[in-house]
Amino acid sequence: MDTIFPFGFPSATAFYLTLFVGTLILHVLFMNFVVAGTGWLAWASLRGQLWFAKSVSESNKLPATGTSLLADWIPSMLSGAITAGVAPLLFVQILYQKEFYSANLLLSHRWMSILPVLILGFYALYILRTGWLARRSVWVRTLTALIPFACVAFVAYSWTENHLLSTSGVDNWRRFYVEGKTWYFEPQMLARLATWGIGSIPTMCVWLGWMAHYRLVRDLPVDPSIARQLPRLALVGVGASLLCGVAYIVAAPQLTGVFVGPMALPYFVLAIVGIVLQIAGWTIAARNSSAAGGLPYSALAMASAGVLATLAGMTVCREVIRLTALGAARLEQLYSRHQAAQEVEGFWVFAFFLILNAGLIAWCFRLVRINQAAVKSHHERG
Amino acid sequence: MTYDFYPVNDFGPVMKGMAIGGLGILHVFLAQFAIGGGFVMCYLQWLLMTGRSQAARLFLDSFFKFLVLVSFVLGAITGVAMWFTSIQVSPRTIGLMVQSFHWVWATEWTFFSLEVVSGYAFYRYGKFLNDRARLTLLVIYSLAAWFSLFWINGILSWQLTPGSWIETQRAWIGFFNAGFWPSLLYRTVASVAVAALIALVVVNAIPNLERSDREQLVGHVSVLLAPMLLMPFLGLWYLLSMPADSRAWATGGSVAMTMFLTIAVGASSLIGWYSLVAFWYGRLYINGATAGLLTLLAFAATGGGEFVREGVRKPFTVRETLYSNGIHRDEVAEWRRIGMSNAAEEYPLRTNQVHASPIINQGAIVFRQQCSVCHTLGGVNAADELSRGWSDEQMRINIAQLQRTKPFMPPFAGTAEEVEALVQFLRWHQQGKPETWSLPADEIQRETLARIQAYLDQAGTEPSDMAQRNAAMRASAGLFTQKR
Ligand code: HEM
Repeated sequence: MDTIFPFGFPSATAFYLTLFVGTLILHVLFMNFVVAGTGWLAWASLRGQLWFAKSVSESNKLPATGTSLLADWIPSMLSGAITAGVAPLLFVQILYQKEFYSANLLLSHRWMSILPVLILGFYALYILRTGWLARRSVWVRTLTALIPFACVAFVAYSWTENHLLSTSGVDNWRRFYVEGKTWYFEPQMLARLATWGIGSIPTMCVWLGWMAHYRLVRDLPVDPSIARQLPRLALVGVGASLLCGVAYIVAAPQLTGVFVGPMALPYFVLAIVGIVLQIAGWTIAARNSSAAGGLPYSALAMASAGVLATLAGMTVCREVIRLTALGAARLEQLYSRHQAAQEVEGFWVFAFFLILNAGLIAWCFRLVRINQAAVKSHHERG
Repeated sequence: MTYDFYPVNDFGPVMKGMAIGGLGILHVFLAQFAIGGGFVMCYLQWLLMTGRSQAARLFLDSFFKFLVLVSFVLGAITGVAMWFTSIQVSPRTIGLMVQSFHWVWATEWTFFSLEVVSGYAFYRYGKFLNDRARLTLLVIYSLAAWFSLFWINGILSWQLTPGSWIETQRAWIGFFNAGFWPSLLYRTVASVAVAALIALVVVNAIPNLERSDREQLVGHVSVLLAPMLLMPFLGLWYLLSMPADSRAWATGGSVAMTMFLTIAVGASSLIGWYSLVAFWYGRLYINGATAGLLTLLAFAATGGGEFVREGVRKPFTVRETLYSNGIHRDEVAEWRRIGMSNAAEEYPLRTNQVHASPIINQGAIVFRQQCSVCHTLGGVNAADELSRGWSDEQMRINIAQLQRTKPFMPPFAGTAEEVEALVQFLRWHQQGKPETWSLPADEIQRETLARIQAYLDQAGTEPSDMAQRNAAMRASAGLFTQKR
């Protein structure tokens, strides 16, 4: 535990830690879009600015705004968040089975409630795009648009709650169980959640930036306001999440030692470099956006690299916080389990299908792209 | 012994198996719809491309929208819910499954991701793509969905027929177990049938479709019910692949299991017969109400089948390895020696469950650890109700020799004191949980414990052995037929 993550651990542990962190980053990429995106939709609805195209062809004809892009893409991205969540869910069970299961069981029906809540949020997103809702009163429309955000925020809260409880130790679990509690709270919780939540804004802006970019590449109209909105919003997001990060460290001062400790320091630096890249990228984008609503490619690429670096760095730091909280003695106990898991057959089959199916996923995108001409001519005809 | 104790939750009057079973049925039904739906759409897209059905295009877009709304949302989330519910019901079972097959699960995840991407690609852009690209996406989607079934089927069938995995612990031996192929093929046919029935509902629900187009689509979709003719053979094959005692149980040994099997077979047969007649008379039209009714029957068949699959594994969740209550077969002897009430050190009773009498508390812990996964108190399959008519001594024998009392219960994993504590706890419940609870004099207690120890020793620490289990099954099957 005194060398850079994950090299200080036995090979099996390091292997599963790497897989876990790698797949969690993928989850967070989608999750951030959904968290910030539903927040945006809720805000837009409160300001009476909701507008949704009912179909892809309709949305292709009208200039895309941030709101319309979000409404169009959020259901698929929520599917992406859930699908991408399955892999870290698998690896977390290999790495910290007792911790994860115990927290699940302690929170009990409170934990399980994230599932119906997710279903509710999911269907509310689809309802947002129906003509039925468009004909309802402004109150019904606004309230419906608030549902996805409320649901997603609750799910995010629950994951944080479950995570913190899982690392809080057996004595705490015993007390929690005996007292029959189903909600867990630590002072650092809200600051931690706010860091994640507000930190999700820049990720969403990057996604939206690329969506707008590819629309322009395909000669589809984009509302010029996007090019002004996204850099500003992203910079506010970066700044606000930094403030929340500071609040988080104040609420849990032991974290400073963890971030600058030997395991996490390079990743902490990576996260900071990422923030610098984001600030630079978005500042350049703000100054050089096109009248058509496009953001300069290189600036967008820089901001994206920054988001990836920050997410990767912070996800590793998050893991190091857990490893430190569990402590060397507990980790010693876990090593043999990880070793036993690694001896189970099947890795090469997984690796083979991972590559094959990643290729097929890329092919699906290509198929759709090759047919872009058809989409466009359809649009022109329509 | 290193044993991970987990907090145990009380589901009130609901049997934990009902929670996982109920969710499982919904999830399996939706998953079958998603898998079979792919095949239905490939077939209709092909008919469209070969000029045999122009109406297929309209159908495909409506059907896929429906599939995405139902299966990508409810199907995906109930899938995650299955995982979470398994943790709630039996963390040690899901833990063993994950540990033993995580690469299979990870492989399944790559197919699931492919299924979602190809599905959304078709959903969003299908209308604008040329027919070849549409068919390609649909084929990718269908194969990805079917392979998800392929992988998960290996893990689920392993639970009932792990075969020589027990000795070798080799994942592929466990995966390609005796039940793998019959179960995979059966589920594949069931998936196509479920999706075809739902497709018939959708055909009837599409607005602005000419009657002749509807009739044509009904005719095409009904063809996909034909593979149901294979179901009796595949079902029989699956039944034959089961361990003899599990089979005996489903075919008369247990009233509940036999009833569920009858529902599954009966409902499938009704659908099969109806389709056969429809097929025979060529142009018999299936309207929305009939299609809806047939879909409900398919749901009942899925429900019956899933209950049988969950039920016949008892007393194990992984045959010959892990008992339903999460205790490993090899651990029973040790718990007999040192006692399961150790659980109290990690997780004592909840404050509102603590009673003045220590023996009642000990009994509550024993009940929680060993019985509560299948029994409730005062609810479904209530242990206090089931044992109400027994004398104290009968209770002691029946609990100490649990595997003999009913072969689908695991051996008792605790000391004589713990058997007695459980007996007192159940009695206390039966008598309306009085404030005070008195016990006989120490001398009598000692004698009682000595007798219980003898009962425990007689029954041993192994599950009722196969021959014994079969004999008990036959006997209860006989009893069942006599009663009828
Ligand atoms: C809208 C839906 C979701 C949101 C907003 C969300 C949000 C989050 C957040 C905020 C965290 C980090 C918690 C923390 O470190 O404090 C997290 C972690 C995680 N999420 Fe999600 N999540 C969602 C859905 C899912 C689903 C459906 C799955 C599983 C299929 C999943 C799997 C995971 C896993 C495995 C972790 C890591 C847990 C740990 O390390 O303890 N998430 N999620």
